[in-house]
Amino acid sequence: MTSYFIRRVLLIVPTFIGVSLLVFTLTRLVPGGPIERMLNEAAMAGNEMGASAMVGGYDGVGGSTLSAEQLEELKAYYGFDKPVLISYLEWLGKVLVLDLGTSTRYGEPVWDTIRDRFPISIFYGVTTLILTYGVCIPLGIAKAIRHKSSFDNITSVIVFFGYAIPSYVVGIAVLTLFASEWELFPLGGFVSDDFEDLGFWDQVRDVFNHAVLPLLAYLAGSFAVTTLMMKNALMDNLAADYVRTAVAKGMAFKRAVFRHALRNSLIPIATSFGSNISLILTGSFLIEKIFNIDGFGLLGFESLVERDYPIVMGILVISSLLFLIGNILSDICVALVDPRVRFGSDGAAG
Amino acid sequence: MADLPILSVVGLSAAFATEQGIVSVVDGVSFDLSAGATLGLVGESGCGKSVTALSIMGLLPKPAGRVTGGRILFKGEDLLALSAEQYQRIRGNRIAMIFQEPTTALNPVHRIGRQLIETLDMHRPELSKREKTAAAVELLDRVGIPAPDQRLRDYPHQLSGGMRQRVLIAIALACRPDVLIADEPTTALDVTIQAQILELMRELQREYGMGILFITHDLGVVAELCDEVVVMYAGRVVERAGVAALFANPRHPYSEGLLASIPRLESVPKTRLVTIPGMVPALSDMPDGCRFRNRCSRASNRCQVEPPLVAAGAGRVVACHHATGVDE
Ligand SMILES: Nc1ncnc2c1ncn2[C@@H]1O[C@H](COP(=O)(O)OP(=O)(O)OP(=O)(O)O)[C@@H](O)[C@H]1O
Ligand SMILES: [Mg+2]
Repeated sequence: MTSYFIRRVLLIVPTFIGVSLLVFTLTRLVPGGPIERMLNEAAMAGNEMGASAMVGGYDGVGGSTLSAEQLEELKAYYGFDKPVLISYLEWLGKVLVLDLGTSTRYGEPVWDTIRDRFPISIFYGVTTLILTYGVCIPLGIAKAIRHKSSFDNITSVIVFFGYAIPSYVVGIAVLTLFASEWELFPLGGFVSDDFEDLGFWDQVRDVFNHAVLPLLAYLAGSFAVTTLMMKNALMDNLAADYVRTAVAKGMAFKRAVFRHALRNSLIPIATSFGSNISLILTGSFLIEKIFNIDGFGLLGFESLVERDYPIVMGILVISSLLFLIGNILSDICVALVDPRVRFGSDGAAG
Repeated sequence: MADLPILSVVGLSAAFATEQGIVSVVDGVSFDLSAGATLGLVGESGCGKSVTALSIMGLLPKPAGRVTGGRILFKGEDLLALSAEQYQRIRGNRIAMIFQEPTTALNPVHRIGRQLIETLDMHRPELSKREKTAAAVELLDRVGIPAPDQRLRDYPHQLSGGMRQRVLIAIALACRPDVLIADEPTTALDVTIQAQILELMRELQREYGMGILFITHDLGVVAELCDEVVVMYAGRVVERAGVAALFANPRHPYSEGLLASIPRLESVPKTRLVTIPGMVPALSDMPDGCRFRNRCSRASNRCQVEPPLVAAGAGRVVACHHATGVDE
């Protein structure tokens, strides 16, 4: 088993190189890169000033706004003067010493920009994850035990209703209702402006107040899949022979559900756990936009639009590593729950 | 002792709620099981053997399945009148059951030891942890599992099918029950393992003295193991007799057909096996009167009236208007 996990960890390296090389190359091919932008902006600026040289509009590279020399300097600055592979290797070399480069938009180190967003994204990600599992698992169990009861039917309707409405619609709806109409919660942001001056408990309350509405938007659609997965898995196991064996031993059915069927039903949940972990940091840029939260989703989206490739690549590094580690965590979870799963050479293959 | 049955099923009926409405699957089944005796319950697939067994255990799948009539007397006490808690105290303790599929009957994520000791946890709470473990080792040893103290820490997938069935027998016998219900316990095993398990059950019965209700399709197994046989057809008992008497002289045409369909050494090789013509009708369109009459060579107009179970010699009953050897 250990050797299996060591192999999995080692496999991160080629996978990571593949993913990052692909995206890196794409950033070279997609039009509208940082150089073009600069030229564009310079040209626009020139136009607005009404400079006579620009009659007939922007005339492409080599226009009078930037000299060929300046252009070369720019390209060298961004590493666009070398072949893709060479500059990729340079980039990779820097990543290995934890240098993610400098944002073309903010002019700040990428790592600093990303680090500022970490607490916010982790807060929302972890809270969403905990609430999702905290609700879905018990709800799935209750629905399985009361299959086809009115409780089961009504919760199904609610859960699918939430699933069917796009989260940004939920976001706008709750924002309009509870923040604008009734002013129960703040309109947006992660904390209030006077956060620093508050006492500890007021700070906690402040974060909580700001979090309620965005969390509603995040969670509304997230219950359906896991709840139904839990319910179906448990239903399958309730009908399993070993549950009947347990009841035939004299165990009460309820107790057999929790002592026998439950752990088996957690196996599919454990399988999906890893990919959910990587969702922690991705967030939804729409929800972040609506609630004015400076999280990863918004940062990633804006950097893409602005062609701020160092940030795009920086986010890619973090999210792909998280995804790969998440998958290994899934495997570990499954191996913990299911003794039949024995990876690698020690023990029969499960 | 032999005169007072340990388990007595009287006029048991059970039904399932299905999409086609309520379907009666067991209809007025009666038999007695004496302490230390083995009663075989035979009949074609779907005739209600498992439903009868599950009714006795109080394990019919709820809410679809339900006992609709009759009594199940265990030591004279009607199990159907018990509360859920009272039933739990009997289940696995005084009446235990082993199932057909040893592969799926054990929980794959719990160790053998835990699953075995669990029975003792429920019915022998006065034992200490160490005593329960010792009892578990002894039980595994008793059912013929080598190195039992190590097997306690194994998971089910680490054992073969035969070994798993032995574990299930150990679980069932943990509290030395008065009645053991075995629902086709060897059907999923290969022939040599099957013989070993049957031998084990016979030994354990001699030692523990429990009554066994043995459900099977296999008349060969019945001949080897049972003292008395109940033949069921489409939810009803058609004949009940001692094993020797039944094999020597089946009175119901269905029993006769069942016996004739066993391949025999003395029959001519590579000829067609004798089978009972036709199929069991669906429970929803059973003929009235005798349910076997559309497949029966002796059927007559009289068979449109349901034949009662009547005495047909010493300790045997048969439900047929044209039973052989019964006075007209
Ligand atoms: N859960 C259920 N819902 C509806 N009908 C059922 C259910 N379980 C069993 N039945 C019906 O009850 C009848 C008797 O089934 P049972 O399992 O007792 O047969 P059996 O004699 O044990 O057959 P086998 O030899 O195949 O095990 C069958 O016709 C079956 O269709
Ligand atoms: Mg059966």
